[in-house]
Amino acid sequence: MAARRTQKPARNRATREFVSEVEEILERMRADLSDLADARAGGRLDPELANRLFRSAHSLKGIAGMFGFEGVSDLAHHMEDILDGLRMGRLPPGAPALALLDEVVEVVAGLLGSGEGELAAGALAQVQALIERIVASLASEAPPAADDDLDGIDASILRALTEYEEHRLRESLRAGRAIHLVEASFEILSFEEGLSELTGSVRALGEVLSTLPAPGDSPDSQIRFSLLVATECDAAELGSRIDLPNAMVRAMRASRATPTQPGSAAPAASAPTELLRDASPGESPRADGGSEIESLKSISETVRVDIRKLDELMNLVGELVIQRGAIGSLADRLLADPATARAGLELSKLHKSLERRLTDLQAGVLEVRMVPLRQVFEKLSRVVRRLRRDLGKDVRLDIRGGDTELDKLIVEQLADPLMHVVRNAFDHAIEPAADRASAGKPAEGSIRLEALQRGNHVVIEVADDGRGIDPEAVRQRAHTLGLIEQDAVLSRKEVLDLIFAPGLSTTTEVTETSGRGVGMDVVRENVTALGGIVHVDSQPGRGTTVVFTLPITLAIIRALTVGVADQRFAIPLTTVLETMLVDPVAIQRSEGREFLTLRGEPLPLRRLHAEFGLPSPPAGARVAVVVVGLGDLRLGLVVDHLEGQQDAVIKPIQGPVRSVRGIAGATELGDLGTVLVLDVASLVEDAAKRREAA
Amino acid sequence: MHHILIVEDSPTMRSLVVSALEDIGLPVRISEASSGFEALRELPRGDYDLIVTDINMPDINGLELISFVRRNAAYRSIPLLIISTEGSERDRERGLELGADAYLVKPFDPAALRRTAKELLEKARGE
Repeated sequence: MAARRTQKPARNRATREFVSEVEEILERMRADLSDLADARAGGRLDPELANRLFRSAHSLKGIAGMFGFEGVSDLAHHMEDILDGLRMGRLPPGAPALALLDEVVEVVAGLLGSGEGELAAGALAQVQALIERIVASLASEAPPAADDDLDGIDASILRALTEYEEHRLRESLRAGRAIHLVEASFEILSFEEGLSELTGSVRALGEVLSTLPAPGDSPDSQIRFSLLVATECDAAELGSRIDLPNAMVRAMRASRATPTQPGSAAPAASAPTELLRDASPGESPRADGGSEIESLKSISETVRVDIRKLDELMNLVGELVIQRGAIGSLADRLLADPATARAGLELSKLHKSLERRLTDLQAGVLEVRMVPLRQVFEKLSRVVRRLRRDLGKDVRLDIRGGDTELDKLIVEQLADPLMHVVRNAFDHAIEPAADRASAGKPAEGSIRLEALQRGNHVVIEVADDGRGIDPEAVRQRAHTLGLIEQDAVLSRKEVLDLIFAPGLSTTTEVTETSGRGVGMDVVRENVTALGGIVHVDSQPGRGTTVVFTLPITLAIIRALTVGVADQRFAIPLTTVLETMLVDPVAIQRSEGREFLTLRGEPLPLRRLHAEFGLPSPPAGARVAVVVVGLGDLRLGLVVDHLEGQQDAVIKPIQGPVRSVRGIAGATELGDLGTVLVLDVASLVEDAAKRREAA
Repeated sequence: MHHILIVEDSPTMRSLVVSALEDIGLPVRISEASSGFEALRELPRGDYDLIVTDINMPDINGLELISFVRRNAAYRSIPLLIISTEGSERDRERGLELGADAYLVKPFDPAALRRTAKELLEKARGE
């Protein structure tokens, strides 16, 4: 830095620099803290990282104190204490300590932003609370490591070691590493280049504990550096591998083959230092600089986004999609009129290219919203572990398909229903060990949680090997509740389906006899709200499987619009298998139900006219059939005519229509106005039930 | 004219030291170094009357710098003042053992810095 003569007071300059330096320090601390967390996750801790953080806190404390930011200075002081504990190995680099440091950094940032050292009362209380937590966390720290002898290390070098450097030296000795002195002389005006080359090559082989400058042979023009190095190499090997002509290596301590613990240090005291040490003694902290760079990169390339922002973005994309549809219709109208056909053609081309780009945009936004089910599965796994501990019940949870991705919103909404089902399996389905033994089952109960993608849907199965559901008990209960007649003819599947009826599964009576329990009606309600379906299958004595089928995304769907009488409906294209025009004579009847024979298989039909109370088409008129499917179930929806495909953003509807079974919501379809969207899941389900009953 | 070298990695702290020493009441010229390495390069360029240094710095620390200054015939007699944050008592004591003349604790009182620096400068001149 150039020498300069200063005349004016530099106070203003200092004030300006203060804010930007604090910001810089905080930024550096944030980056170092996340590196530290990464390194910890990777099972190692670069002590130099903790030392750098310590220095940052140290600088922060100093300058904040000078500017009267007492809250910041206090916090920095306590951070310094924690970081000193970390770098000195007195404090294990546990997650709580790191989380606390993260928090303090953010509080400091907030205090800085709040202005000239004025602490709002709330912030001050926050500061106080944090300090108390820091002090409490330090109270449990391990005692400092015992003294080792430092014989053989030059006194001139020892004298100039800071406390931290001396600590690293002792740690290295304790780990059994060799200590050498690497010496080299450089021209005083250009020493940094040569020195950094030397330091770099030494660091590939060990840790540089200290860099001590000394006058060179001609003190006016030369400077000599002595690097104190801890390494696994012996002096000769270090010398040959450094390969710099002017460097000399002097051995101070040979390495010990087996690291020994100091006799006076209790195991508890040495545990933190174990954590601070490298994972493998052969690896220097910097030997794998590549992975450090990579972890830095991963931090800078990942962005956390508030899900609401993604929702807004999704809505915007949805509106664009609808407007695109309107532009398309306009282009079609212009094309149809010879007077405007030329303009129509231009618009049509623009519309096509807009469509392509919008499709990409839409796919991109959708992809950003996709998250793996793993987070929910892991939460369930924790719950089962806790239940197993608390209830002393031996149950294993097997998880498969955690990588399966769904829209974040769906994953979030799915957590509770899945939790219900897994808890039920744990609490009620899996028998006590004695019962399992007498039934010839392994003592350990099993719950399998498995997800897999099937086309545009994700199927999640929760299967247990418990006592299963007793259909007779369910029947009795349903009759008592007035849900079915005493002599009702029901298929096995229909009986099992009764557990989703309100009130049935919430009673302990059935829970105890059937092994199924709490609020399965709520589970079905939640899953249906997500556009999915839930089924149960069970073998008494063998176990129960609950199957969830869910759409991958909620946000934008391609829909087929159909006309029924004077109404329009939108059918999500993901559920549409095929469409066909049908002559009424091809429609067969059996036991009052209509069906169509499609490729040799009977396809049950359902007339939307009848479903929603609309006037029927004239007898003998050709109708259109939309074949929809969900899972293994198929259904033909009879409509008057097919209109075309549209992008639709489903919006939930409020008011009386909301409760109409078969309607999922409404959508704006550009020039078509508001159109009701069919809830294919419930239509298919109802049809399946009727078929079972038949 | 008294020539002072300030070695301090924090720009803010450096500015504060500079502004305190400018009002010392003696004709001064101030040079700044933001690291130990910079100080090593700066030393041969000027005829210094006082070195003010921090201890906790990147590259070489203040103790290593003090050790270098005291072992070098050309700089041995330059008064050395340590300014370091409280909490590093052990390192500060090491600094005095290595030959530093005085120390101040951050946050420092500018008047105290001026007083100590003036004392050191006048003592060096007097000898």
